[in-house]
Amino acid sequence: MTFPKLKTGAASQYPSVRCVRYRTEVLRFLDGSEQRYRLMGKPLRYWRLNFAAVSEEEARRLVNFFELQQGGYGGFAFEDPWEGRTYEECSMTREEMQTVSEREGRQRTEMELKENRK
Amino acid sequence: MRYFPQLAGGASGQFPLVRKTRRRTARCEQTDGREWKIADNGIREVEWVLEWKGLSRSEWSELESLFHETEGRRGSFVFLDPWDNLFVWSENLAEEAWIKDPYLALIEGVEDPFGGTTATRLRNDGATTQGIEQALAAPGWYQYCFSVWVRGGVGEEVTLYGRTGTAGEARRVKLSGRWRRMSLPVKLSGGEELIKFGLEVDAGGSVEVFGMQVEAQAGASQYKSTRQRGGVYREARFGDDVLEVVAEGPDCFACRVRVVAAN
Repeated sequence: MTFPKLKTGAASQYPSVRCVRYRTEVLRFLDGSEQRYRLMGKPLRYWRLNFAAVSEEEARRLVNFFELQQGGYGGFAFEDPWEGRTYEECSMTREEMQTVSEREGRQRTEMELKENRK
Repeated sequence: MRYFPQLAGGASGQFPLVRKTRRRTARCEQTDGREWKIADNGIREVEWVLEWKGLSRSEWSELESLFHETEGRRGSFVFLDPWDNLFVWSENLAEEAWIKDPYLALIEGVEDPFGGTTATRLRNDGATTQGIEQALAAPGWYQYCFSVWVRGGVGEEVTLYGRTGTAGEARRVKLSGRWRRMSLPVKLSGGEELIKFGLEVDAGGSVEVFGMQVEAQAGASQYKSTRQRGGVYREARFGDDVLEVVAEGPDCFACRVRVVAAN
């Protein structure tokens, strides 16, 4: 399953955010020295996708996708709009999706995705 | 049965309207980033945040009465989703939710106005008018708008209707050979808690239909395709035990209401 695109073919609208997360364990000794090691083999990516002005149809497609995924449970492929690379194992980070109808035919929402460790 | 009130203009909400869909997943994250997940199907919720402005005293009183009746979050009521199509299976007319007259043949997979193949041809093989309808367990006295795209031979006619057991409104529509979206605003009197919407085809007639939709408002909005879940929530509740109203002027009130329902 693949994350849906907007009518224009874009994955999201501005401003959208991508972040990379490492996980490092830091042991600090009495003499002030430190030992650091990685807990995860590779960094994981997070995306906060903004849909500031989408049509009702696009908003419904996103909500249906969220429901199909059962919130954060399901997994899907997501094409990162920053680099065009597809991450095969992603999921939603939130269990709630909010949609705001601002006027007839104009909706606003946002979604947060994360790359899963295989 | 208790019902969430409509505004005097026949709408259930004002812009901006917030709708939240909620699920729950039990997660266990390991230190290396791996996750174990279990879906919790018991938690499937929808929440609406309705911000109303410019309410008259009677509109406000109706809402407050419902709040007293339900004692805040305790009791339930029927809520008609202002964001959704009230019909279920809007593109699957062969589903049981649709009541069909015996001589009405359905041919699915017909080309729809948007280039897909989700329209349905209705062919009346009988000698009298035959129809297809869906009954909604919703207040018969509310304002509704029934809309549908119809295509048929030039000069052919169909009848759109909305009716309860004692009252009804109908509109006879002449077809032109092209897809046209027809709508029928319906506001009936009476106190029945079941209302049916549908269309009738004349004897020997054949028409194509797509995008059956009913909304609890005066006009048709953009079409929303539905499956087993329509916009009628029979066990909705207030999301708060407090209902606050702001008097903005004489006979002018504003409030913010949260409504939640299992999805």
